[in-house]
Amino acid sequence: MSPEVGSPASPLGEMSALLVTLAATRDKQIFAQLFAYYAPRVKAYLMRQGTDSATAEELAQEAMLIVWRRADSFDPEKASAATWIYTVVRNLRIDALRKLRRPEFDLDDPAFVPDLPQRPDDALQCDQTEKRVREALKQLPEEQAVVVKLSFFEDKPHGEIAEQLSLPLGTVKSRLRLAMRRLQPLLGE
Amino acid sequence: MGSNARPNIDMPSHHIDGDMLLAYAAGTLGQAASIVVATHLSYCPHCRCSVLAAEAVGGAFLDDIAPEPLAQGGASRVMDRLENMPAETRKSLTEDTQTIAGTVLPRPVRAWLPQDLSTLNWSWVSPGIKYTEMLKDANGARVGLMLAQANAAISAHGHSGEELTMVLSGGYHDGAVAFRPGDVQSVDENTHHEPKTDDDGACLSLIMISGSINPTGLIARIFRYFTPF
Repeated sequence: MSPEVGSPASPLGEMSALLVTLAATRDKQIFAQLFAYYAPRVKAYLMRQGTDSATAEELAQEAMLIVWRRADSFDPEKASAATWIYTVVRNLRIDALRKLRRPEFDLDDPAFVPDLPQRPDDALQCDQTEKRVREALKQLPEEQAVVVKLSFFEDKPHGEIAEQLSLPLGTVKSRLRLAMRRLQPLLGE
Repeated sequence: MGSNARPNIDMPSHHIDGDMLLAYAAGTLGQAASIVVATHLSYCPHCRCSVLAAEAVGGAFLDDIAPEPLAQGGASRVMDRLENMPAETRKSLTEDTQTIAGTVLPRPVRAWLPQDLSTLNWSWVSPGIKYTEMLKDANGARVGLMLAQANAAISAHGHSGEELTMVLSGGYHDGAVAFRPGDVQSVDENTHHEPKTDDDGACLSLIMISGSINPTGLIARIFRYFTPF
């Protein structure tokens, strides 16, 4: 396994493929590969957010067990393995922190309004979100990259990020808004 | 019956702010506001796509981060636990046939309400307008349902902080701007506004308030009622 960058065998595509295989086969060896790659990253991510090492370790293990149980709900058309696992970790952390279930929309909700039949170019926009975001992130101006990064790694509302950077809240918000526009340039407001 | 009560919603035309969607995706948004966002997302493919983009940022950060080695034996402890953990299959939800103002409530709202909706604790806060609180979160932000009869005027009000309203059924106007099911209106402390419900029926909306409330007006009466001191 020596994947070429950008090929379907690159780590990004490789991990998503493993996750799809895991859902189909329930193979522990496949899980072990996902675990080896993601568990240490999940632990690092949680520690960057201020979780102590022991709790981060515990939550990382819990998160990977959720991956094992719910691999079936991973949709490779929508997101990469990394993005899906990120959402698992985020929700687990919030639930643990607040002792309350994080509000989430539910595809099986009778009141759910499904994606509309879109114009061909619209469908493209959401399907290629992952690829576009990764490319746009590389080109983000530093001042925007900083606020985006802080908003993911600091468990703080935007007001506190503004204090930390000694910037007015409006500036932080407008940088975030500019960044998000770059990250999804075809989506408009 | 249930499917008839499905909200008749096209793409909403008033959306959640980009920075609020980002905070929701990053997991830093408060619980009360998150309920409004998740409810809007149930109705809005457009904002779901924006949240997906923001989550992909989180995924990219996760891929790029320098890994932190696990404690000794961590991996094998997890492998040992797999035995007793079958896959969870997505369970189809039992169709809820209970309605308020003719509408089945979306999950992110329903989850905070009692099983039997007839036991809901409504309080009249103004002629033709009643309110029931769902949650007060750790930051003191509150979220609840407001049910207003047709042609009800919601008197001007002010507060410090933010107010988010999302229509679940019926509709209202604020000046010339119409708000229909799925639409969100965000109002900050500098705005005085005077929404009026449409004349063709009741309007049910989800309402969230952060910060303290100016002591005049309807919203103040609502939230003073719910503040014990």
